[in-house]
Amino acid sequence: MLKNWSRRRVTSAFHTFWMLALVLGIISVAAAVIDDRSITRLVTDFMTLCVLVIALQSFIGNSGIISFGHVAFFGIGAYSAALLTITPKIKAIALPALPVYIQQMQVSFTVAVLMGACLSLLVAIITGLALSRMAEGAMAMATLALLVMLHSIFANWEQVTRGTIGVYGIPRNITLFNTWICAAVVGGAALLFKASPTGLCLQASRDDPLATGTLGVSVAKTRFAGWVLSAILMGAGGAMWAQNNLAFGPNQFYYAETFNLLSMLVIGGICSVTGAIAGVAVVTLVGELLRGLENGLSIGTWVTLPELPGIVQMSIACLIIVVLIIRPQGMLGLNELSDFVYKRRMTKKNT
Amino acid sequence: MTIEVAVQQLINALSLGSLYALLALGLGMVYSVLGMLNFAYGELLTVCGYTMFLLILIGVPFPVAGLVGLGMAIGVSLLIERLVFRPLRGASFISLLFASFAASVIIQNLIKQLISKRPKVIPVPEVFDQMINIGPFQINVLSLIILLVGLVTLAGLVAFLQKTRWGLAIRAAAEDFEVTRLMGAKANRVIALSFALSGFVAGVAGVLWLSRRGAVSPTMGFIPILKAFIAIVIGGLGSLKGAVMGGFLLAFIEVALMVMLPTRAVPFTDAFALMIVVVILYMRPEGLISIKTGS
Repeated sequence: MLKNWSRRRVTSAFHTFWMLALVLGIISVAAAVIDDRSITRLVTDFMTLCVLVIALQSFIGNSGIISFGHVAFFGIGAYSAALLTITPKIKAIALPALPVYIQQMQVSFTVAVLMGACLSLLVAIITGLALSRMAEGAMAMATLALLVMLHSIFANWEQVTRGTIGVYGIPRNITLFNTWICAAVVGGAALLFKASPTGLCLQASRDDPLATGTLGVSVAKTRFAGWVLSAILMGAGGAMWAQNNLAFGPNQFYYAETFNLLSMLVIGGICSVTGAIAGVAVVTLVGELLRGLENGLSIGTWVTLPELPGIVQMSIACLIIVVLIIRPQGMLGLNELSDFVYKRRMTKKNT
Repeated sequence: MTIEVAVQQLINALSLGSLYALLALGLGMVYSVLGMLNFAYGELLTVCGYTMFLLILIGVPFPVAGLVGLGMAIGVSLLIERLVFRPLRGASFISLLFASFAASVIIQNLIKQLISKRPKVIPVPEVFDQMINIGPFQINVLSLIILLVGLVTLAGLVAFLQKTRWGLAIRAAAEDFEVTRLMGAKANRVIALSFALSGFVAGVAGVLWLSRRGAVSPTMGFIPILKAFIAIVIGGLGSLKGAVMGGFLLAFIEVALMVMLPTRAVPFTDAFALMIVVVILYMRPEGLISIKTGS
């Protein structure tokens, strides 16, 4: 089993892993030192988004198939974390129809994240068996179908999800430390998958499915593996997100969120885990800078800009078009962090 | 079920089907020529709807407003092609998809900022709500109008595609764009034409959609694009005939479920319909009509 692993790929994945973990660690430590509530919130949001976008990357980037359905796994993770961490008192009032053993259960952050991952693993296996056999275009449509189906379940299964009213009262278990650990672990898993033989086969099927099939690789099986892995990561991300956001409704797992996550991935670079993180960073920064404009702004006493609702979303959409025209592969293209360091070392040796 | 109800439901299904078939044909037209899914297609309906809303507000009669809305949909479709997709010619499927995603977000937000964030009511002519009796059957006027307009537009488009040189160019481009260019068809013109036709179909579908819904909102394009997308995938991506068939099939599945499901399960109609679609795709991964075998 292990002999098929490429030593060079694993080493470079490991290099990227520790550098990314270091960068994310520095951000967390900086936030801990500043110790400001809004900054801490910004950093935990950022790390959670990193987990979600990396999860998305591990499927879309390696398989080249666009998935609209991953936000459904995000929702599964979030709802399972909500059901498992809300205090029994609130659950008795808000969700009286739940089975008693779930009502009295209250688990820690780690268990909730793992349970979210397990539940979405289950759904991913069921859906993946059907999905992975389809042609690329049909598969993209089927993932959209998955999103709509699960949304209608979230919105109508009132005994468990409270329908469109949404759930509340999730304890804020998230800290700078545990989000950092989660982001690093998920990033590591995605990098390792990308370097693994299965990941390599999946990338081959992205570039040419027909040729990959003729080499004796089962395209359906590798796609299934990618689908399941990214669903696990997405479920974990959803569980983290729930414990960061504390209250949510079914409409948060739909079209808008799908666009949001996909746009970060496209801006950063679909094929690169580093790109996913860079995309989240850019979109978060643009969002923070322009949020002021959204509520109107006065410069001096003379110039007052009017309120511009939706300016953030619109600028991000423009940014996508510009990035796609200038760099069709996203900001980082195919490069990971270690590629930049390596290349520089190589050119130094040559000169 | 009595025979009367069955006939009424059949007319409903046919009328919804011709609407879905139109939507699917407009989306499929651009897909078959360029190989891209244009997610901004739903926004053409929104643009058409808001144009009509503004015109009706200043007292323009409904049919005239509809025609102007149709013109706007064609214009915006061509504008998107020029500004967004032409600079990206030759980019990958995913890049084009995201560019169209982004274009749709920009249009939605422009409407939110320039007109209103909230849904607005469009007064629809009263005739639409009436029922007429044909023999023993009571039939909703709007369903009949949608069915007629839908079928006439479909027939017109088919005639255009089959009988004219331009139609020939589009059908040829759908099969092999490179060879079509070698035969002397101008790429930019064929592509612009396919976008114009797609905008035209979106405009017609938009007027019909609004007559059913009676309201406009900035995000109203989502459901039509979803239905069109599902229809072209069931029909077989890249096949124009398949798109029309897929539209009718989807409408029949939806109406049948609406009639047969118990009241408690009605909120889940969409979920069930999609489940059936996924099963169809599982059986025939290439859709009803596969462009590879051509059967």
